[in-house]
Amino acid sequence: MEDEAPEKDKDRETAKSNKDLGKVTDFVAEREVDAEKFRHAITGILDSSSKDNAEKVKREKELAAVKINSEDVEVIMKEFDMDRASSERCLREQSGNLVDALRTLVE
Amino acid sequence: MGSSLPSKEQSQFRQLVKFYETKQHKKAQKTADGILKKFPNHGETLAMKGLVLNSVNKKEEAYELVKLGLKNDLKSHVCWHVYGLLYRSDRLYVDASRAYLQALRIDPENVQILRDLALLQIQTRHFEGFISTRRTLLTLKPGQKNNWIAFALANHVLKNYAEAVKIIDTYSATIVPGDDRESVYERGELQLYKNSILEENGDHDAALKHLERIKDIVVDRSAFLEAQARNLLALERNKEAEEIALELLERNMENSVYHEQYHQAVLSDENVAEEHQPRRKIELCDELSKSNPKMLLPKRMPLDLLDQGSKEDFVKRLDSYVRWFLERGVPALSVDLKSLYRAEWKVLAIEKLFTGFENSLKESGALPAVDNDTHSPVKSGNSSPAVVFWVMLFLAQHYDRIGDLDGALKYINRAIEHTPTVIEAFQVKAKILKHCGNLTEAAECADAARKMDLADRYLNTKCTKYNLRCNKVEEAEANVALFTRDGETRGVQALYDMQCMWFECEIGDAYIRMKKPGLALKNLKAVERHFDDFIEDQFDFHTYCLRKETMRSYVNLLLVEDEIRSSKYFTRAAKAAIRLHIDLHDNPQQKDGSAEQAAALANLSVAERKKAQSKLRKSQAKKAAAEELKKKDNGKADGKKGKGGGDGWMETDPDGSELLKGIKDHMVEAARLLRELEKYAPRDVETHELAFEVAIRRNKYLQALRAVNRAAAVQPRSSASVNLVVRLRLDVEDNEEKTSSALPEVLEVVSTCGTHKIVGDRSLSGYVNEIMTDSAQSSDTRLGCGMALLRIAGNENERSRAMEVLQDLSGASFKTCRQLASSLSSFAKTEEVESFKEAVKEKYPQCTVPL
Repeated sequence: MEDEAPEKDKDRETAKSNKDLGKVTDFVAEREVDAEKFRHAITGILDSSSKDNAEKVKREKELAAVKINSEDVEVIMKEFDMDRASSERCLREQSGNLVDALRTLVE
Repeated sequence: MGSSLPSKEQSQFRQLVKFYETKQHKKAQKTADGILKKFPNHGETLAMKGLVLNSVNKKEEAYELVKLGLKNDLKSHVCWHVYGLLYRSDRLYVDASRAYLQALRIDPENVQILRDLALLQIQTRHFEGFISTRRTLLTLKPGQKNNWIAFALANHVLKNYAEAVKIIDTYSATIVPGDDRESVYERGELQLYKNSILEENGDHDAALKHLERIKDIVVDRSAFLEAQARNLLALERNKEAEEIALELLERNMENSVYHEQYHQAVLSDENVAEEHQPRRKIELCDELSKSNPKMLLPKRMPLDLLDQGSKEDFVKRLDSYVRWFLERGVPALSVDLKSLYRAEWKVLAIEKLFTGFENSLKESGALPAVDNDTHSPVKSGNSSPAVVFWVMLFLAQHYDRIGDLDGALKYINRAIEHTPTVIEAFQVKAKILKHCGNLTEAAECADAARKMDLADRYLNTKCTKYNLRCNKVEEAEANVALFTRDGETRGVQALYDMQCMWFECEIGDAYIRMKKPGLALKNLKAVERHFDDFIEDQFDFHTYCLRKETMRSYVNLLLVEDEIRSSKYFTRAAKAAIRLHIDLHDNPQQKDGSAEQAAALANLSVAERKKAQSKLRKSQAKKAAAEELKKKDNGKADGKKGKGGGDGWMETDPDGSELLKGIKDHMVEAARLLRELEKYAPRDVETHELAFEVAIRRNKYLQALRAVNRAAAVQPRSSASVNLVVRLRLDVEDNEEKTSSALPEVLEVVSTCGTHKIVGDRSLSGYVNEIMTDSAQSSDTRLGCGMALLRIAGNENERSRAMEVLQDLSGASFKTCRQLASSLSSFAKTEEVESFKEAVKEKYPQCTVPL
C-alpha cells in the first residue's frame, strides 16, 4: 500500500498537468469592454495607419514596365530551381539582361 | 448560421458549434446526427460533423463529409470556413487561407473567420495580409482589447513603430485599469512591450523617459533595469548607466552581460584608451571581488583579459582560482577553463601549474603554499587526498584537449587507480578513448560509468551515444529504453514522441555506417518532422499570448521560430540525409540492399560499372513511378492517417523501406534539403560543400559556382573552400566535354565569375601552395591543401609530393583523418588511399573502426 500511494500521486499529477496543457488551446470567449468609448478612440488610429508607400509603388511600376524574354525566365528557373515569380523579378531588376541576372545569382 | 433550418434545429445547430468549441466531441456528434436525421442534406451540419470527426482523428470521413457539406451549400460561409479549418489542421496553410477568403467573400464581416485568417497570416508571416485583417477586426470590434494589441503587433512587425506606439497609447488611455494582480502584471507587461518598440526604433531618449513614467507599475524589475542600462549606454549617459549596471550586479553577480555593461559604462566615462582597457576592467573586477568574495565570475573574467605581458599575474590568479575547484572537487573545472586554451602561452602556464601541483602533492602531501595575497582566501596546510585525484583528472582532460592522447591516458589511468569510485573519471576516459579511435573500449568505459549510477539519465545518454558510435544499435536501444516513460508507447516510438533528436541523429549515422539506408533515412526524417511540429506549435501561442498580454515573450517566440531550423539538430540531420542521398544516387544498388548486385558491380571496370548503374537507376525510377501511381489510386488517405490508427509514425513503416521507395530522385530530395540549409545555415561551409556535390551531379554549373563563391566568402582559407575551387576549375571550367551542352549564357557566367576571381593570375597549384604556407599552424587546412594538390597533380612526381603532405598527420584529430580518408577514396588511386590509411593507423594504433 505504501508503495502505491506516491504512484497514485504521480498519476494524479500527470493527469492534472495534462489537463492544464489541454486548457491552453481551449476556446475562451473574448471579453468586451466599454465598446462605446473604444469606438470613439479608434477614429484617430485607423486613418493614419493606412499610409501608402509611394516610393515602393513607383519602383513596382518601373519593374513591371521592363520587357523580359520568357525563355530567359525559364533559364533562371531551370538553373537555380527558382519559382517563376522570383525568377521574373530577378530578371526585371537586371533590366531584362539574362547574363547580368545569372551573375547576381551566383554571388 | 444554420439559417435555413427551422428554429428548433437552428438552436440545436448553435449547440453543436458550442460543443465543438468546448471540445465536447461526443455530444457534438450526437447533436449533428440529430439534425441530420431530419435534414440529411443540410450542408452546414454535414460540414460541422466532418470537423468534429476530424478532431477525433477520423480524417477520411471528415474530408468526405466536409466536401459533401460544401457541395450541398456552396453559398454558406460556414461550409467554407470549416473547409479552411480542416486544411489548417493538416497544415495546408495555403489551401486553408484560400478557403477562408472564399468564406469572407460571402460574409466579409465575420469576426470568427477573420480571426482564423489572421492566425494563419501571422503563422506564415504574411504581414501585409495580417495588418489588413487586423485593421478590419479592430474596426468591427473595437471593444476587445486583443484587437488593439494585435493591431499594434501588426504595425510593430512591419516596423511601423510610431503607429504601434500610438495604438498602445490610445488603448491604455481608454481602458479603465483593474487592480487585481493579473491586471497589474498585464499593464506592466504591455508598457514594457511598448518600451521595447521605442528601443527597437532607436528612440532611446523616449524609451528612457517612458521607463521613468512606468517605474511604479512594472513588476518585472530585472527587465526594467536591463532596459534602462541598454538605453543609457546607447545614449552614452555613462554615469547613470554605471549606477544601473551596479544595481543589476548586486542582483546577480554571475551574469556576464551585466559585467560587460558595467565595464562599458565606466570605460567610456573615464575615456580609457584602448590599450589600457583590459587593465581597467581587471581593476573593476577586483573591486567587486573584494566586496563579494564568494562570487566566481569577477575572479574568472581577469583570466580571459590578461595578456602575455602579465604572465606572472595570470599564474597567480589562476592558482588561487583553481584551488577553489580542486579543494571542493568540482568536476567542471576543465570546462570552465576551456576558453583559456585559445592562447598558447596560457595553455603552457596551465600545464606548468598543474604539474607543479602534482609534484608538490607527491612530495609534501599538500598543494604548494601561497604567499599571503588578496586573491587567495584559502589557507595552506595539508590537502585532502581527494585533491590529488582532481589534479590528475584535470591533467588527463588537459592533455586530451591539446591532443596528447598518450599523456591523457596515463593520467586518467592513474586517477582511476587512485580513486576507482568517481564516475567522472570513467567518463573522461571514455572520451579520451573515443579520441584515440578506440570506440569499442570507449563504449565499454561509458557503460562502466553508467553502471555506477543506474538512476542517472545523463550517464545513460552518454553510454547510448557511445554504443551507437560503434554501431551497437541493439544495446543502445535497450539502454535508452530504460529511461523512457512507462506509457503506452515503447521503444523508438517513445523516443520519437519525446522528440529525442540527439538519439535520432546518432542512430541515423549508425545506420548509414551499417549500410541500412531505409532505417537511416527514417530516423533523419524524424528529426525533420520534429521541426515541422515546432513550427506548427506556434499556432497555440498566437491566441494564448495575445490573451495573456505577454507580448515581449511572444515577439521573442516569433523570432526564435523564424530561425528554428538553424538549430544544430536540424542542420546535422539534414547534412547526414543529403550525404546519404548523394551516396544512394552514386550507388543505387544499395537501395535494394542486394549484396550480389554490389559484388557483381565491384568486378566490373569503371566504365561498365557506370553503365550498369545508370541502367539500374532507370529501372528503379520506373518502378518508383509505378508505385506512386498505385498509391494515388488508393486515395490521399495514406499520409494522413498519422496518429489516428494507434500506430505512431515510427511504428508505421518501421524500417523506412516505404519512405526510401517513395523517393524517386535522390538528387531532387537532396536539393530540397539544401534549400533549407542555404537559408538557415549559410555561415556553415559544409552547407556549400554539399551544395556543390549535389549541383555537380545535377549538371547545374551555376549552382556549383555559387556554392564555391559562398564557401570562399565564409571561410576563404579552409580545406573545404580550397578543394571546391580546385574542383570547379577541373570538373567544370576546364572540362569542355562535360559542359558542351550548357547554354552560352551559362558558360559566359561560369568563365567570368568563376575561380579566376579567387585564384587570380596564379597557377592553380600556386594558389593552393600559397594557402598551405600561409596557414601552416592549422593541420586541417594543410591536409586539405594536400588533398587539393593530389586532385591537381598531373604526373607521378606531383602525386607523390601531394601524398607526402597528406601523410604528415601531426595535429590532426582522429575525426579529421576519418573524414579525409572518405574524401580521398572518392577520387584518389587505391594505393594512395591505402597508404594514407596506413599513416592514420600509425598515428592512431588503438583505432578499432574501419576507416
